[in-house]
Amino acid sequence: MSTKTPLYDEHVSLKAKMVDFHGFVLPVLYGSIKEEHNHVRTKSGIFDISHMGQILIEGRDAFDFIQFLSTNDASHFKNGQAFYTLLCKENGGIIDDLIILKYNDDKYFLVVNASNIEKDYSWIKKHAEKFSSVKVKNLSDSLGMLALQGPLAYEILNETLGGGKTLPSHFYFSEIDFCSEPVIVSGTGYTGEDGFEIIASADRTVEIWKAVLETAKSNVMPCGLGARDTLRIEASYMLYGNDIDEDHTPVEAGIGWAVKKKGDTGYLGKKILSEQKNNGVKRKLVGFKTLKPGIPRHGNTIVSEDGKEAGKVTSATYGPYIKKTIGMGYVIPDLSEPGSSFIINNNSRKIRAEVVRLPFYKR
Amino acid sequence: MAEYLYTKDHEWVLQEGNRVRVGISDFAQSELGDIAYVELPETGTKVKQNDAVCSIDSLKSSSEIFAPVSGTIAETNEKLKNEENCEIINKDPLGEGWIFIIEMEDPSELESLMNEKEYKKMTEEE
Repeated sequence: MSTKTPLYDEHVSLKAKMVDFHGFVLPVLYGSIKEEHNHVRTKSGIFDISHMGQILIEGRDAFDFIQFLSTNDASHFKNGQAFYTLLCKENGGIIDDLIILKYNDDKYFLVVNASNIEKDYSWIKKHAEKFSSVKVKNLSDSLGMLALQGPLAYEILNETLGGGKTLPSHFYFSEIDFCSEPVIVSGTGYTGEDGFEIIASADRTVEIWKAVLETAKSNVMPCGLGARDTLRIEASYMLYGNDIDEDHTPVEAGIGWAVKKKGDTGYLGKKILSEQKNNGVKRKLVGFKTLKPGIPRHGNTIVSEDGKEAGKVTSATYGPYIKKTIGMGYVIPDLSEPGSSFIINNNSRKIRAEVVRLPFYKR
Repeated sequence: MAEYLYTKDHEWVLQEGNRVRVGISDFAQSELGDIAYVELPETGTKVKQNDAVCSIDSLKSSSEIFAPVSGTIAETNEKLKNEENCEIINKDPLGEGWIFIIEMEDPSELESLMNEKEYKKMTEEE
């Protein structure tokens, strides 16, 4: 059974090609992934991301609870800031990666992956029992979510919301009235461009979508999951289930910057993660570009030049804007330095690739 | 006038004397989406009907192109060597987006292929 997002009818009227994505019917593309991708890099694109989940944590113990649950340090962020963080198991395996909006020490709003809503919610509920004063609410079913991304995003959203508003800067958020109802506007995204993510009721989500398309005309293009994926790979953002999961830790994934420093308060996964930070890891996520063309795929095995097993590809694509075939994967430390090369087994093909520094694309 | 013939694997074939020009159908390009890479075969390679000749990658998936007839690869579309040009397969799959030419060994093999009407019927049933 697939859930339709509030924007389902809009996608159908735009003749989108729809697919099932973790139980949601979503557009994979409207016309061409490549055109949608490049439109986001040069002008702007709008995405239906209503499949994302939202969980509210409130109460006097909310700050302590967030510090215990997630790897990044909430004390480093001011009220009104958004931050990237991870929920980890005791063994360091990643339950989910997420953005937390910090209203204040007593109120945090979590934006989680569609595939993990139920898992995260029960994980959070379970651990909340140890804290006397926290309330956890899963708001995912009642909220829609959009992303407006690209160099023209600020101008377009400002005009759509009636002009003269101060929109949040990068990694800040605020509640802004739209049709006399507050919507959350957050200066975050998953494309490598400046832009916003907007969280609103189902009705307002549809109205904002229509208003943006009406306001921006050819400066905005509706974009599907296909472009969302190629854009995030160019920007080298992790996709849960591909690049990170319960079998990999943030330190292995190269996102140790979102893990609290030594000496901080205890949190789930701390023991293993500090140990990995100090002593190193047995495999590391690296970025690569292919030397001999051909596009590797998720799950392809990586072997050293002399044929020894060395890792696995987690994500890869042709980058339509940077015009290179790129990907990410876990490899043994010996092959993790930029300039190292290895072979990717892709069906019968052997694709040679070279490790490069991440991100592939930076605005 | 020669007509386009089709295989069940969604290649098209256009006879030019003893040679055939080969590409992928409009249906195939729209299913694959943006083509990002084509691994062209070496000219001079001998192929048997239904052999995998080369692979084609779109942003979404990889697939193989099969030989519609037996023969020798006589020519390939050099434009496709540059990844940036691969979109011609999406834009003009039956024309500029051709992939290779085979010098036929046995032109009677063409009889095993579908005409446009039969092919269309097959894709509508898929």
